[in-house]
Amino acid sequence: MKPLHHKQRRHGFTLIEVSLSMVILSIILLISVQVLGLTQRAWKRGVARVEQFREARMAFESITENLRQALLNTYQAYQYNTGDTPTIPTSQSQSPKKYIRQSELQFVTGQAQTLLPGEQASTLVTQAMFFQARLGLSDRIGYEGLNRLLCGRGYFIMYSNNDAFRPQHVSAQSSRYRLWEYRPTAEENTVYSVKPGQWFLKAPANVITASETITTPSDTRPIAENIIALIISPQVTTDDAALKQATPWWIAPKYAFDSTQLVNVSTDSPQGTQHMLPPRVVVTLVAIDEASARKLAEKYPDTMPQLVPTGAFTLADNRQKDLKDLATKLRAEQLNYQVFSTTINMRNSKWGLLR
Amino acid sequence: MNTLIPAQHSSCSPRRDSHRTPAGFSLVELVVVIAIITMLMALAIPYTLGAMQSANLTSAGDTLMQKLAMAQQRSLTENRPIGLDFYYYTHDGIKGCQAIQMISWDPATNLATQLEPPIYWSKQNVVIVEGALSPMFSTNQTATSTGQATLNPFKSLSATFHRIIFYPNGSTSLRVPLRTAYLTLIPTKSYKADLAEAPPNYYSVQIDPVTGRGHSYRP
Repeated sequence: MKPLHHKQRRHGFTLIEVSLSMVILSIILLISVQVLGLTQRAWKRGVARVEQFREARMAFESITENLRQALLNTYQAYQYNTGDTPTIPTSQSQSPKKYIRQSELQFVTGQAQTLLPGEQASTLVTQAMFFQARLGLSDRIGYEGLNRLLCGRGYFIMYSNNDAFRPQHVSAQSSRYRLWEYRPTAEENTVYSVKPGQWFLKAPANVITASETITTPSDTRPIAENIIALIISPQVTTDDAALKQATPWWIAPKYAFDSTQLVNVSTDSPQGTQHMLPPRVVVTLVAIDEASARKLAEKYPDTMPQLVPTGAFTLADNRQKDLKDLATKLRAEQLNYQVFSTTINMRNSKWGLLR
Repeated sequence: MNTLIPAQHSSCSPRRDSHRTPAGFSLVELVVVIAIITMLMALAIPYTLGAMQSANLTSAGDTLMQKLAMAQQRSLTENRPIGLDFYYYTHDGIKGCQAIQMISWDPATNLATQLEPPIYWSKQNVVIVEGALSPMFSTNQTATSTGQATLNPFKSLSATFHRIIFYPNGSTSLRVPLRTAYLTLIPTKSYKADLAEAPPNYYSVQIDPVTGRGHSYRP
């Protein structure tokens, strides 16, 4: 009689059917979870990229904009002597020997550790650059209208933590490579009163401290985070290089260029490149994103990660190769990076005088 | 075993032969299915809402960063001071900065002209909180950088404003050291009056008073 009550009863699934469908379902689930995970990772990476590299891009633009305005105000003067002050006669009756190019300002690029041999030297990487330009920066009230005051300016990369300036509720300390801008005001410009190479020596020491007040703002300020290399190569135009049958970077084969030094002298140009601005400067910036920087910090806690291979970026001849090596290294560490590079035509360079 | 199989066949065969349409779902089945769906939804909704909230916060913060960069860029290219006005008023019981607007500012007359339509944070369910999380405007405010809103629609809301002015040489009107020059965006869901501790998700934006550079901090 029982079967009559269960008229509607049908076959259930067999065990094989159920297990088969479960297997298929789990495969589908597995695949979709993986696809979702991949999408999420790609999305996150993309967002981090846009976010992070916006800061680097803005810093890069501000470097190029300011560097373009660098100047030396070179003039011709009587030469009486040799040495530090060739334009000052030793006696009233001394007659001048000849005309020389002269300037009190300085344009200097080179290895950061060489230019800034202070306490912080070990935390500096790749290169630094310091120059003078009419940037019109002043703290003095009433000077707002003087927007072409001569100011010193410089850029370098230093590895340090952000204890002195991160918001209070941000608990995580972050030791990072940062791009720092040295920006003393016009009234603090000591380029006329000290020996060449001295006016920017305090740049790495003048970073922001926890006791900074608005009346005494620090001269050295972070302008971008996670910048791991700054490469500055002073060059001449390709036409000039072809004319001289040399590479465009013959004026600074080791990246070092100091406008106050008597270098690159030849018989037809007795003053070499002294007191000349290079006609072109190739600025290259390598940035990584914050996600990569966090990964690095986990991998190397308490130490400065060495990302730029030792000995790299010391010879301008190897610039492309060094960049490629750095990229390989960054890829091997699985870091997201971006290279910003541009050639700046220096507005105030009067290189034609050399030819 | 052998006896069972014929029995099954005999019970099934008459129904198959009759070609009756199979019955629909029973009430119990329906209830169970609906219960399962509800349970799944109940599990999924908090996560989805959280993700949406977080996406809103990110996009709002990115907008703020972008507007800061844009104001600085415009001031450089147009060679005149460009400002960002932060409007503070109460909306839906939430007190804080509810909107921002880009303006051009004339130093001679202290008059502001609106350059862009305002951006309302409430549309993205976020707010810039006042107090310990946003000390940027709490000290050294001057007459030109704060006051009652003079431009509509904020005048009619009796809002107060705080203004950051970006000058063509890259500097700003902020008179605070870098370590206190930040504002914090939080989801309105985490809002509490006089919030002192950071909520689990926030977007802090630091503006260097000297260089005008913006930098974001996320948990």
